Amino acid sequence: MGNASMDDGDITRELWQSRIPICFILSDDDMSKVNRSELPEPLYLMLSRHLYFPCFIEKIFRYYSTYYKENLADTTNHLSIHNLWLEYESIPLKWHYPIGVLYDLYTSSLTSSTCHLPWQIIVHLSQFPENELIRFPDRESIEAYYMSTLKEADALKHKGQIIGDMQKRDHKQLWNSLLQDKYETFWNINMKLMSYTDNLLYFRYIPYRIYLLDRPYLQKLFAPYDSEHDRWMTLNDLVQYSLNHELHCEHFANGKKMLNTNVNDYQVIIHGVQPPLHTPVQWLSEYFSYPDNFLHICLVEKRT
Amino acid sequence: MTLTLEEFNQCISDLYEQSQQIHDRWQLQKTSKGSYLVYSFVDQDHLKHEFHIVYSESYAVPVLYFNVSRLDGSLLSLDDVWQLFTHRKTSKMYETITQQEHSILHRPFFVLHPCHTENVLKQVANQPIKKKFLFWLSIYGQSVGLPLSVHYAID
Repeated sequence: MGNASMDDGDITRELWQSRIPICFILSDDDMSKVNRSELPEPLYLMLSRHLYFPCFIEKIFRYYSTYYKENLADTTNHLSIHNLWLEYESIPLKWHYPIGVLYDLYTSSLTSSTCHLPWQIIVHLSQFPENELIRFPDRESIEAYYMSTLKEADALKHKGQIIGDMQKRDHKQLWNSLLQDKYETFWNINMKLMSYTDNLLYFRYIPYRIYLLDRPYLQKLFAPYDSEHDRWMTLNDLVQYSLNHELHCEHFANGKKMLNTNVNDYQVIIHGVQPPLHTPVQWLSEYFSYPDNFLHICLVEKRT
Repeated sequence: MTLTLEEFNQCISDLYEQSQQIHDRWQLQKTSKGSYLVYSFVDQDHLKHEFHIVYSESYAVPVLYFNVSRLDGSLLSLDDVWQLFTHRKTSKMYETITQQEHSILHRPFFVLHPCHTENVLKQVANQPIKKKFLFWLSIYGQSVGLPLSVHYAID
Protein backbone atom coordinates (compact mmCIF):
# COMPACT_ATOMS: atom_id res chain seq x y z
CA MET A 1 0.00 0.00 0.00
CA GLY A 2 3.08 2.24 0.20
CA ASN A 3 3.51 5.49 2.06
CA ALA A 4 0.59 7.57 3.24
CA SER A 5 -0.35 10.26 0.78
CA MET A 6 -1.70 13.63 1.82
CA ASP A 7 -5.23 12.43 1.08
CA ASP A 8 -4.99 9.31 3.19
CA GLY A 9 -3.80 11.36 6.18
CA ASP A 10 -6.76 13.70 5.71
CA ILE A 11 -9.04 10.70 5.90
CA THR A 12 -7.73 9.53 9.25
CA ARG A 13 -8.03 13.04 10.61
CA GLU A 14 -11.62 13.39 9.36
CA LEU A 15 -12.56 10.07 10.95
CA TRP A 16 -10.90 11.12 14.21
CA GLN A 17 -13.05 14.24 14.35
CA SER A 18 -16.42 12.69 13.63
CA ARG A 19 -18.95 12.94 16.41
CA ILE A 20 -22.52 11.98 17.10
CA PRO A 21 -25.08 14.12 18.93
CA ILE A 22 -26.67 12.03 21.67
CA CYS A 23 -29.69 12.75 23.84
CA PHE A 24 -29.72 10.81 27.12
CA ILE A 25 -33.17 10.35 28.64
CA LEU A 26 -33.78 8.88 32.08
CA SER A 27 -35.79 5.66 32.10
CA ASP A 28 -39.40 5.81 33.26
CA ASP A 29 -38.59 3.45 36.09
CA ASP A 30 -35.84 5.66 37.49
CA MET A 31 -37.79 8.83 36.72
CA SER A 32 -40.44 7.68 39.16
CA LYS A 33 -37.87 7.65 41.98
CA VAL A 34 -36.79 11.24 41.50
CA ASN A 35 -37.47 13.25 44.62
CA ARG A 36 -37.59 16.76 43.20
CA SER A 37 -40.62 18.53 41.92
CA GLU A 38 -38.89 19.16 38.60
CA LEU A 39 -38.13 16.13 36.48
CA PRO A 40 -34.72 15.79 34.85
CA GLU A 41 -34.30 17.32 31.42
CA PRO A 42 -32.58 15.13 28.82
CA LEU A 43 -28.79 15.42 28.71
CA TYR A 44 -27.27 16.36 25.37
CA LEU A 45 -23.67 15.40 24.52
CA MET A 46 -21.58 15.36 21.33
CA LEU A 47 -19.50 12.19 21.53
CA SER A 48 -16.64 10.91 19.40
CA ARG A 49 -17.59 7.95 17.27
CA HIS A 50 -14.44 6.09 18.20
CA LEU A 51 -14.78 6.41 21.98
CA TYR A 52 -16.74 4.20 24.34
CA PHE A 53 -19.89 5.07 26.32
CA PRO A 54 -18.29 3.96 29.62
CA CYS A 55 -15.91 6.93 29.26
CA PHE A 56 -18.93 9.10 30.04
CA ILE A 57 -20.55 7.12 32.86
CA GLU A 58 -19.32 9.56 35.48
CA LYS A 59 -20.51 12.59 33.56
CA ILE A 60 -23.95 11.11 32.97
CA PHE A 61 -24.32 9.92 36.54
CA ARG A 62 -23.23 13.27 37.99
CA TYR A 63 -25.88 14.99 35.90
CA TYR A 64 -28.74 12.78 37.08
CA SER A 65 -27.58 12.35 40.66
CA THR A 66 -28.42 15.97 41.41
CA TYR A 67 -32.07 14.96 41.10
CA TYR A 68 -31.70 12.17 43.63
CA LYS A 69 -29.85 13.89 46.44
CA GLU A 70 -31.77 12.19 49.20
CA ASN A 71 -32.49 8.93 47.44
CA LEU A 72 -28.84 8.18 46.77
CA ALA A 73 -28.27 7.56 50.47
CA ASP A 74 -31.10 5.05 50.48
CA THR A 75 -29.36 1.85 49.50
CA THR A 76 -32.58 -0.03 48.94
CA ASN A 77 -33.05 2.06 45.83
CA HIS A 78 -29.97 0.48 44.26
CA LEU A 79 -29.32 3.78 42.52
CA SER A 80 -25.62 3.72 42.03
CA ILE A 81 -23.06 4.72 39.44
CA HIS A 82 -22.13 1.04 39.33
CA ASN A 83 -25.62 0.14 38.15
CA LEU A 84 -25.78 2.72 35.38
CA TRP A 85 -26.41 1.27 31.96
CA LEU A 86 -27.75 2.40 28.59
CA GLU A 87 -30.54 1.10 26.45
CA TYR A 88 -31.80 1.70 22.94
CA GLU A 89 -35.24 0.38 22.01
CA SER A 90 -35.26 -2.23 24.78
CA ILE A 91 -31.77 -3.43 23.90
CA PRO A 92 -29.03 -3.00 26.50
CA LEU A 93 -26.22 -1.22 24.63
CA LYS A 94 -23.04 -3.32 24.48
CA TRP A 95 -20.88 -0.45 25.46
CA HIS A 96 -17.60 -2.27 25.00
CA TYR A 97 -18.21 -1.59 21.29
CA PRO A 98 -17.25 1.91 20.09
CA ILE A 99 -20.07 4.48 20.07
CA GLY A 100 -20.02 4.83 16.28
CA VAL A 101 -20.47 1.09 15.79
CA LEU A 102 -23.60 1.01 17.96
CA TYR A 103 -25.00 4.07 16.23
CA ASP A 104 -24.45 2.67 12.73
CA LEU A 105 -25.83 -0.72 13.67
CA TYR A 106 -29.02 0.44 15.35
CA THR A 107 -29.98 3.53 13.38
CA SER A 108 -28.94 2.84 9.79
CA SER A 109 -32.04 0.86 9.00
CA LEU A 110 -34.35 3.72 9.90
CA THR A 111 -36.02 5.18 6.84
CA SER A 112 -35.81 8.89 7.43
CA SER A 113 -32.36 10.36 7.93
CA THR A 114 -33.69 13.11 10.16
CA CYS A 115 -35.58 11.10 12.71
CA HIS A 116 -32.57 9.62 14.50
CA LEU A 117 -30.44 12.69 15.32
CA PRO A 118 -29.77 13.38 18.10
CA TRP A 119 -29.61 9.71 18.93
CA GLN A 120 -31.99 9.10 21.83
CA ILE A 121 -30.68 6.71 24.44
CA ILE A 122 -32.33 5.65 27.70
CA VAL A 123 -30.31 5.85 30.89
CA HIS A 124 -30.96 3.30 33.63
CA LEU A 125 -29.64 3.68 37.15
CA SER A 126 -30.65 0.28 38.48
CA GLN A 127 -30.99 -3.41 37.54
CA PHE A 128 -27.77 -3.68 35.62
CA PRO A 129 -28.09 -6.61 33.16
CA GLU A 130 -24.85 -8.30 34.18
CA ASN A 131 -25.37 -11.37 32.02
CA GLU A 132 -25.34 -9.17 28.96
CA LEU A 133 -23.19 -6.15 29.68
CA ILE A 134 -19.56 -5.82 30.65
CA ARG A 135 -18.94 -3.69 33.75
CA PHE A 136 -16.52 -0.79 33.71
CA PRO A 137 -16.17 0.27 37.34
CA ASP A 138 -13.46 2.85 36.59
CA ARG A 139 -11.31 4.45 33.91
CA GLU A 140 -8.61 1.82 34.30
CA SER A 141 -10.99 -0.93 33.34
CA ILE A 142 -11.86 0.83 30.07
CA GLU A 143 -8.18 1.34 29.38
CA ALA A 144 -7.52 -2.35 30.08
CA TYR A 145 -10.29 -3.35 27.71
CA TYR A 146 -9.00 -1.01 24.99
CA MET A 147 -5.46 -2.35 25.39
CA SER A 148 -6.62 -5.94 25.23
CA THR A 149 -8.39 -5.24 21.92
CA LEU A 150 -5.34 -3.40 20.58
CA LYS A 151 -3.11 -6.33 21.54
CA GLU A 152 -5.40 -8.75 19.78
CA ALA A 153 -5.25 -6.59 16.64
CA ASP A 154 -1.45 -6.65 16.74
CA ALA A 155 -1.45 -10.39 17.36
CA LEU A 156 -3.41 -10.75 14.11
CA LYS A 157 -1.34 -8.25 12.11
CA HIS A 158 2.15 -8.89 13.43
CA LYS A 159 2.01 -11.85 15.86
CA GLY A 160 2.14 -9.22 18.58
CA GLN A 161 5.72 -8.22 17.73
CA ILE A 162 5.15 -4.49 17.42
CA ILE A 163 3.01 -3.90 20.47
CA GLY A 164 5.20 -6.27 22.44
CA ASP A 165 8.28 -4.19 21.61
CA MET A 166 6.61 -0.95 22.62
CA GLN A 167 7.35 0.68 25.94
CA LYS A 168 4.64 0.86 28.56
CA ARG A 169 4.64 4.64 28.11
CA ASP A 170 3.74 4.19 24.43
CA HIS A 171 0.70 2.16 25.44
CA LYS A 172 -0.23 4.90 27.90
CA GLN A 173 0.25 7.55 25.22
CA LEU A 174 -2.18 5.78 22.91
CA TRP A 175 -4.90 5.60 25.53
CA ASN A 176 -4.38 9.08 26.95
CA SER A 177 -4.32 10.78 23.57
CA LEU A 178 -7.49 8.91 22.69
CA LEU A 179 -9.18 10.21 25.83
CA GLN A 180 -7.78 13.73 25.42
CA ASP A 181 -8.65 13.91 21.73
CA LYS A 182 -5.03 14.40 20.63
CA TYR A 183 -4.82 13.13 17.04
CA GLU A 184 -1.11 13.83 16.45
CA THR A 185 0.10 12.25 19.67
CA PHE A 186 -2.08 9.23 19.01
CA TRP A 187 -0.86 8.66 15.47
CA ASN A 188 2.79 9.18 16.44
CA ILE A 189 2.54 5.81 18.16
CA ASN A 190 -0.27 4.24 16.14
CA MET A 191 1.62 4.50 12.87
CA LYS A 192 4.11 1.98 14.24
CA LEU A 193 1.20 -0.45 14.47
CA MET A 194 0.46 0.21 10.80
CA SER A 195 3.90 -0.86 9.60
CA TYR A 196 4.85 -4.20 8.11
CA THR A 197 6.92 -7.04 9.51
CA ASP A 198 8.44 -10.29 8.27
CA ASN A 199 9.30 -8.86 4.83
CA LEU A 200 5.61 -8.64 3.99
CA LEU A 201 3.97 -5.67 2.31
CA TYR A 202 0.76 -6.23 4.19
CA PHE A 203 -0.60 -7.49 7.52
CA ARG A 204 -0.61 -11.18 8.35
CA TYR A 205 -4.36 -11.10 9.08
CA ILE A 206 -6.83 -8.22 9.12
CA PRO A 207 -8.37 -7.40 12.53
CA TYR A 208 -12.08 -7.01 11.90
CA ARG A 209 -15.51 -7.66 13.34
CA ILE A 210 -18.78 -7.65 11.43
CA TYR A 211 -21.92 -6.64 13.28
CA LEU A 212 -25.46 -7.63 12.30
CA LEU A 213 -28.70 -7.04 14.16
CA ASP A 214 -29.83 -9.90 16.41
CA ARG A 215 -26.60 -11.79 16.05
CA PRO A 216 -23.22 -11.99 17.77
CA TYR A 217 -20.43 -10.40 15.75
CA LEU A 218 -18.52 -12.32 13.09
CA GLN A 219 -14.75 -12.55 13.26
CA LYS A 220 -12.48 -14.92 11.31
CA LEU A 221 -8.85 -15.10 10.23
CA PHE A 222 -8.60 -13.26 6.92
CA ALA A 223 -5.43 -12.48 4.99
CA PRO A 224 -5.39 -9.27 2.93
CA TYR A 225 -3.39 -10.66 0.03
CA ASP A 226 -3.85 -13.84 -1.94
CA SER A 227 -0.32 -14.68 -3.04
CA GLU A 228 -1.46 -17.67 -5.04
CA HIS A 229 -3.50 -15.49 -7.39
CA ASP A 230 -1.52 -12.27 -6.88
CA ARG A 231 -4.63 -10.46 -5.77
CA TRP A 232 -5.46 -7.95 -3.05
CA MET A 233 -8.56 -9.02 -1.17
CA THR A 234 -11.40 -6.52 -1.14
CA LEU A 235 -14.06 -5.47 1.35
CA ASN A 236 -16.50 -7.51 -0.68
CA ASP A 237 -14.29 -10.60 -0.36
CA LEU A 238 -14.04 -10.15 3.40
CA VAL A 239 -17.76 -9.69 3.96
CA GLN A 240 -18.66 -12.54 1.59
CA TYR A 241 -16.20 -14.89 3.27
CA SER A 242 -17.53 -14.05 6.74
CA LEU A 243 -21.17 -14.44 5.73
CA ASN A 244 -20.50 -17.75 3.98
CA HIS A 245 -18.65 -19.08 7.00
CA GLU A 246 -21.43 -17.99 9.35
CA LEU A 247 -24.09 -19.65 7.25
CA HIS A 248 -22.05 -22.80 7.26
CA CYS A 249 -22.06 -22.77 11.06
CA GLU A 250 -25.71 -22.06 11.44
CA HIS A 251 -28.13 -24.59 12.79
CA PHE A 252 -31.18 -24.69 10.61
CA ALA A 253 -33.08 -26.73 13.15
CA ASN A 254 -33.40 -24.07 15.82
CA GLY A 255 -35.72 -21.99 13.71
CA LYS A 256 -33.35 -19.06 13.43
CA LYS A 257 -33.88 -16.85 10.45
CA MET A 258 -31.49 -18.03 7.74
CA LEU A 259 -28.66 -15.64 7.15
CA ASN A 260 -28.77 -13.75 3.86
CA THR A 261 -25.30 -14.12 2.36
CA ASN A 262 -25.84 -11.77 -0.57
CA VAL A 263 -23.53 -8.85 0.16
CA ASN A 264 -25.51 -6.61 -2.19
CA ASP A 265 -28.54 -6.88 0.05
CA TYR A 266 -26.67 -5.01 2.79
CA GLN A 267 -25.35 -1.55 3.43
CA VAL A 268 -21.74 -2.15 4.44
CA ILE A 269 -20.98 0.64 6.90
CA ILE A 270 -17.71 1.66 8.57
CA HIS A 271 -17.53 4.95 10.50
CA GLY A 272 -20.95 5.86 9.18
CA VAL A 273 -19.93 5.67 5.53
CA GLN A 274 -20.17 2.94 2.90
CA PRO A 275 -16.72 2.43 1.38
CA PRO A 276 -16.74 1.00 -2.16
CA LEU A 277 -16.85 -2.79 -1.93
CA HIS A 278 -13.83 -3.12 -4.22
CA THR A 279 -11.61 -1.27 -1.70
CA PRO A 280 -8.63 -3.44 -0.68
CA VAL A 281 -8.97 -4.50 2.97
CA GLN A 282 -5.28 -3.80 3.55
CA TRP A 283 -5.93 -0.12 2.84
CA LEU A 284 -9.06 -0.13 4.98
CA SER A 285 -7.16 -1.73 7.83
CA GLU A 286 -4.51 0.99 7.69
CA TYR A 287 -6.78 4.02 7.26
CA PHE A 288 -10.29 3.04 8.27
CA SER A 289 -9.69 1.12 11.47
CA TYR A 290 -10.89 2.41 14.79
CA PRO A 291 -8.25 3.48 17.34
CA ASP A 292 -8.30 -0.10 18.64
CA ASN A 293 -6.91 -1.08 15.20
CA PHE A 294 -9.98 -3.15 14.36
CA LEU A 295 -12.22 -2.62 11.35
CA HIS A 296 -15.68 -2.55 12.90
CA ILE A 297 -18.08 -3.20 10.03
CA CYS A 298 -21.87 -2.91 10.32
CA LEU A 299 -24.07 -4.84 7.93
CA VAL A 300 -27.54 -3.41 7.74
CA GLU A 301 -30.09 -5.02 5.43
CA LYS A 302 -31.27 -2.70 2.70
CA ARG A 303 -34.97 -2.13 2.61
CA THR A 304 -36.51 -3.62 -0.53
CA MET B 1 4.65 -21.54 20.93
CA THR B 2 1.17 -21.85 19.54
CA LEU B 3 -1.47 -24.53 19.15
CA THR B 4 -3.45 -25.18 16.02
CA LEU B 5 -7.19 -25.63 16.32
CA GLU B 6 -6.76 -29.34 15.64
CA GLU B 7 -4.17 -29.67 18.41
CA PHE B 8 -6.41 -27.75 20.79
CA ASN B 9 -9.39 -29.97 20.00
CA GLN B 10 -7.26 -33.03 20.58
CA CYS B 11 -6.05 -31.70 23.95
CA ILE B 12 -9.49 -30.91 25.29
CA SER B 13 -10.83 -34.18 24.03
CA ASP B 14 -8.03 -36.06 25.83
CA LEU B 15 -8.54 -34.08 29.01
CA TYR B 16 -12.24 -34.84 28.91
CA GLU B 17 -11.57 -38.58 28.44
CA GLN B 18 -9.18 -38.59 31.39
CA SER B 19 -11.66 -36.63 33.45
CA GLN B 20 -14.30 -39.25 32.80
CA GLN B 21 -11.91 -41.99 33.86
CA ILE B 22 -11.07 -40.38 37.19
CA HIS B 23 -14.65 -39.22 37.74
CA ASP B 24 -13.75 -35.56 37.64
CA ARG B 25 -16.05 -32.75 36.55
CA TRP B 26 -14.84 -31.58 33.15
CA GLN B 27 -17.52 -31.33 30.49
CA LEU B 28 -16.94 -31.04 26.77
CA GLN B 29 -19.25 -28.70 24.88
CA LYS B 30 -19.43 -28.97 21.12
CA THR B 31 -21.01 -26.12 19.18
CA SER B 32 -21.06 -24.99 15.58
CA LYS B 33 -18.64 -22.23 16.59
CA GLY B 34 -16.17 -24.59 18.20
CA SER B 35 -15.64 -26.92 21.14
CA TYR B 36 -14.69 -25.93 24.66
CA LEU B 37 -14.24 -27.45 28.10
CA VAL B 38 -16.24 -26.47 31.18
CA TYR B 39 -15.42 -27.07 34.84
CA SER B 40 -17.61 -25.86 37.67
CA PHE B 41 -17.88 -26.36 41.39
CA VAL B 42 -19.45 -24.73 44.42
CA ASP B 43 -17.11 -23.73 47.23
CA GLN B 44 -17.69 -23.73 50.98
CA ASP B 45 -19.06 -20.19 50.83
CA HIS B 46 -21.70 -21.35 48.34
CA LEU B 47 -20.03 -19.48 45.51
CA LYS B 48 -20.22 -21.17 42.14
CA HIS B 49 -16.98 -21.13 40.14
CA GLU B 50 -17.20 -21.79 36.43
CA PHE B 51 -14.20 -22.18 34.12
CA HIS B 52 -14.16 -22.46 30.34
CA ILE B 53 -11.23 -23.39 28.14
CA VAL B 54 -11.76 -21.87 24.71
CA TYR B 55 -9.50 -21.62 21.66
CA SER B 56 -8.38 -18.18 20.54
CA GLU B 57 -7.92 -17.99 16.78
CA SER B 58 -6.31 -14.59 17.05
CA TYR B 59 -3.54 -15.81 19.37
CA ALA B 60 -3.59 -19.50 18.38
CA VAL B 61 -3.51 -20.47 22.05
CA PRO B 62 -6.05 -21.69 24.61
CA VAL B 63 -7.77 -19.04 26.73
CA LEU B 64 -9.20 -19.45 30.23
CA TYR B 65 -12.54 -17.77 30.89
CA PHE B 66 -14.19 -17.83 34.30
CA ASN B 67 -17.07 -16.46 36.34
CA VAL B 68 -17.92 -16.68 40.01
CA SER B 69 -21.55 -16.32 41.02
CA ARG B 70 -23.55 -16.28 44.22
CA LEU B 71 -26.49 -18.49 45.10
CA ASP B 72 -28.92 -15.92 43.77
CA GLY B 73 -27.18 -16.03 40.39
CA SER B 74 -25.53 -12.62 40.66
CA LEU B 75 -21.98 -12.39 39.35
CA LEU B 76 -18.99 -11.36 41.42
CA SER B 77 -17.33 -8.14 40.30
CA LEU B 78 -13.65 -7.94 39.43
CA ASP B 79 -12.93 -6.46 42.87
CA ASP B 80 -14.78 -9.30 44.57
CA VAL B 81 -12.93 -11.83 42.45
CA TRP B 82 -9.55 -10.39 43.39
CA GLN B 83 -10.43 -10.43 47.07
CA LEU B 84 -11.34 -14.04 46.62
CA PHE B 85 -7.93 -14.90 45.25
CA THR B 86 -6.24 -12.76 47.91
CA HIS B 87 -4.13 -10.93 45.41
CA ARG B 88 -3.17 -7.41 46.28
CA LYS B 89 -4.87 -4.91 44.06
CA THR B 90 -2.26 -3.27 41.87
CA SER B 91 -2.50 -1.59 38.49
CA LYS B 92 -1.01 -4.69 36.94
CA MET B 93 -4.13 -6.52 37.98
CA TYR B 94 -6.20 -5.06 35.21
CA GLU B 95 -3.63 -6.14 32.69
CA THR B 96 -4.06 -9.78 33.52
CA ILE B 97 -7.80 -10.11 34.11
CA THR B 98 -10.45 -8.27 32.12
CA GLN B 99 -14.09 -8.88 31.47
CA GLN B 100 -14.67 -9.85 27.85
CA GLU B 101 -17.38 -11.16 25.59
CA HIS B 102 -16.94 -14.96 25.57
CA SER B 103 -15.99 -15.75 21.98
CA ILE B 104 -18.53 -18.57 21.65
CA LEU B 105 -21.29 -17.73 24.14
CA HIS B 106 -21.06 -13.95 23.65
CA ARG B 107 -21.81 -13.02 27.24
CA PRO B 108 -19.54 -11.49 29.88
CA PHE B 109 -16.78 -13.63 31.39
CA PHE B 110 -13.55 -12.77 33.08
CA VAL B 111 -10.53 -13.80 31.07
CA LEU B 112 -6.86 -14.18 31.83
CA HIS B 113 -5.29 -12.26 29.03
CA PRO B 114 -3.68 -14.53 26.43
CA CYS B 115 -1.02 -12.10 25.25
CA HIS B 116 1.61 -13.69 27.50
CA THR B 117 0.61 -17.27 26.84
CA GLU B 118 3.03 -17.74 23.98
CA ASN B 119 5.90 -16.68 26.25
CA VAL B 120 4.71 -18.94 29.03
CA LEU B 121 4.59 -21.86 26.62
CA LYS B 122 8.16 -21.19 25.45
CA GLN B 123 9.30 -22.82 28.67
CA VAL B 124 7.89 -26.10 27.42
CA ALA B 125 8.60 -25.51 23.75
CA ASN B 126 10.07 -28.96 23.15
CA GLN B 127 7.46 -30.89 25.03
CA PRO B 128 4.63 -32.80 23.37
CA ILE B 129 1.46 -30.81 22.74
CA LYS B 130 -0.40 -32.46 25.58
CA LYS B 131 2.25 -31.55 28.14
CA LYS B 132 2.29 -27.97 26.85
CA PHE B 133 -1.45 -27.77 27.26
CA LEU B 134 -1.40 -29.14 30.82
CA PHE B 135 1.47 -26.82 31.72
CA TRP B 136 -0.54 -23.86 30.48
CA LEU B 137 -3.63 -25.02 32.35
CA SER B 138 -1.81 -25.56 35.61
CA ILE B 139 -0.23 -22.09 35.55
CA TYR B 140 -3.28 -20.11 34.49
CA GLY B 141 -5.76 -22.25 36.37
CA GLN B 142 -3.82 -22.02 39.60
CA SER B 143 -4.00 -18.24 39.70
CA VAL B 144 -7.79 -18.33 39.62
CA GLY B 145 -8.49 -21.28 41.84
CA LEU B 146 -9.06 -23.99 39.25
CA PRO B 147 -8.35 -27.36 40.87
CA LEU B 148 -6.29 -29.65 38.67
CA SER B 149 -5.71 -33.19 39.74
CA VAL B 150 -2.17 -34.55 39.48
CA HIS B 151 -3.67 -37.49 37.65
CA TYR B 152 -3.81 -35.45 34.46
CA ALA B 153 -0.04 -35.20 34.41
CA ILE B 154 0.28 -38.95 34.48
CA ASP B 155 0.00 -40.53 31.07
